[in-house]
Amino acid sequence: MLDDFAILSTTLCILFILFRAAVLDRSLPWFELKEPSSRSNGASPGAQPNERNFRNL
Amino acid sequence: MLRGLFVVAAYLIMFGLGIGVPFILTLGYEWVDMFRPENILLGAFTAIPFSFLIGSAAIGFYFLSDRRDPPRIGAMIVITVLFAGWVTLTTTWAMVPGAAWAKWDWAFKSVLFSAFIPFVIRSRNQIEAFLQVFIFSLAADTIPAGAKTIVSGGGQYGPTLGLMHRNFWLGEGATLATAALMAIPIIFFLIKHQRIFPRNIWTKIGYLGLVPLSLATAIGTHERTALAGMLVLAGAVWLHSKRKILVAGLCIATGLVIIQIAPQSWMDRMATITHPSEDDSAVVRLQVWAWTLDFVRSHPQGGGFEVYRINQITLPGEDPDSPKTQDARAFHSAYFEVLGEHGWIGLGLFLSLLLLSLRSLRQVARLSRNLPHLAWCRDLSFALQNSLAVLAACGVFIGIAFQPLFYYMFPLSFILREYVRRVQSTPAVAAVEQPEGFALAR
Repeated sequence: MLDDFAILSTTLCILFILFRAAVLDRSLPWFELKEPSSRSNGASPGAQPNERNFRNL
Repeated sequence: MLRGLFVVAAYLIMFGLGIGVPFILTLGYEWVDMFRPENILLGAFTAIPFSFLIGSAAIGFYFLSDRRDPPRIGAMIVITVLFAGWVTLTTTWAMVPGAAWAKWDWAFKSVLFSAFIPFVIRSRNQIEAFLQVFIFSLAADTIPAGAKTIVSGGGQYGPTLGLMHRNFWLGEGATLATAALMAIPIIFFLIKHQRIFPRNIWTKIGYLGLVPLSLATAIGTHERTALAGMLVLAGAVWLHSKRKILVAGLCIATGLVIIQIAPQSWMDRMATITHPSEDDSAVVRLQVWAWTLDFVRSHPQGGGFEVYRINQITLPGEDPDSPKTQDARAFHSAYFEVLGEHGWIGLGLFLSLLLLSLRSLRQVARLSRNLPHLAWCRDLSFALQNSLAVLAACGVFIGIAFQPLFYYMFPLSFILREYVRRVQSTPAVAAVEQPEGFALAR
């Protein structure tokens, strides 16, 4: 019973991790050149294009 | 039957998610490698080549669809490939060819796949996903083992309380305890920096709940290796902590709680550490290690996988005139395992990987100091150093040289070092990368 619960819960968690990781892989920059909070404030305009360049290599 | 259908369905979903996305397939391989469905399921399900299929697909899709920003072919990758080649070569002159090729079949894949991992795990999101899969694959064993230990007061020395009921991989108590203890620093890292799960109090409670379960798992195995691992973990955490008095107090308090709640059978087992001469398994270890040193004196190139099967050791019995003789006793040490099987060259390559991993992690800690955007790298480097310390220390007493634990820690340290290098080699980041005070001064 406990074994089955562990298998069920951890496998579902792993499926969620894989799904979220696949989604985030498309939306997050690969190499974060600064903290996300400072990006939202528009600091360092050079960072974003470079991050995109990494993705397109 | 239902368990088998569920696991196979999850496996197929992983395949579906990973079509064209090799890092997802690599995570799927990691789950298969840690969870070992073929050893947990029964009947026809055991015949499915889970790891072969998903590992091949990951490599295939990497070449077909995602070769962006590959890592440098550095010392870590070169030595790993050399090590894979060397263990293949030593298998050609193996003393026990049948058993040697059988072990080579899975050990070679573990080593070589670790050289492939840095090609697909590159970004922060991918690194975190890799760590999450490691923790949750392991949790499939630590949740039942830890809960059973807490409820029943622990098991007994020998059979484990986890999912696997054979003396291999996480079915072996000392290996399960080592993996459970290694997970603890990574769990604390994830509590602080994870982004895949929603960041709320329930997630935090979930992660925090895994910590006592991991500790209980280590205790429940009744392995003395686990005690050594706990002491090394406490020392490593204290060494890397900023608040040393607080952490020392927490470690001592945890130790006192463990002593208070641990079952008497665990205390009795740990007490044998101080009387090694009265304990067969400690004497066997020392005898096998002495045999290995003697063996490599005449066979410096090693005797191939499973060479321990030819050993014969003599144990002092109750009557000194009639000592006991035992055959084919395992190495009980990752380092002596590599030395006996692959000689001094093999041990040199293996230790090089270990030292390079440690050096990479220390470099990451140094390079990311005072850089807010790399704070997670610094924290992860400390967490991985702590896990590596536990693994290296416990590896002295268990033959896990070719189990996945080493071959996930080696690439992870290299991947993190490569991540920092990629960020720092970006010209536009130079201004951002200065410590805040310095940047303001400009």
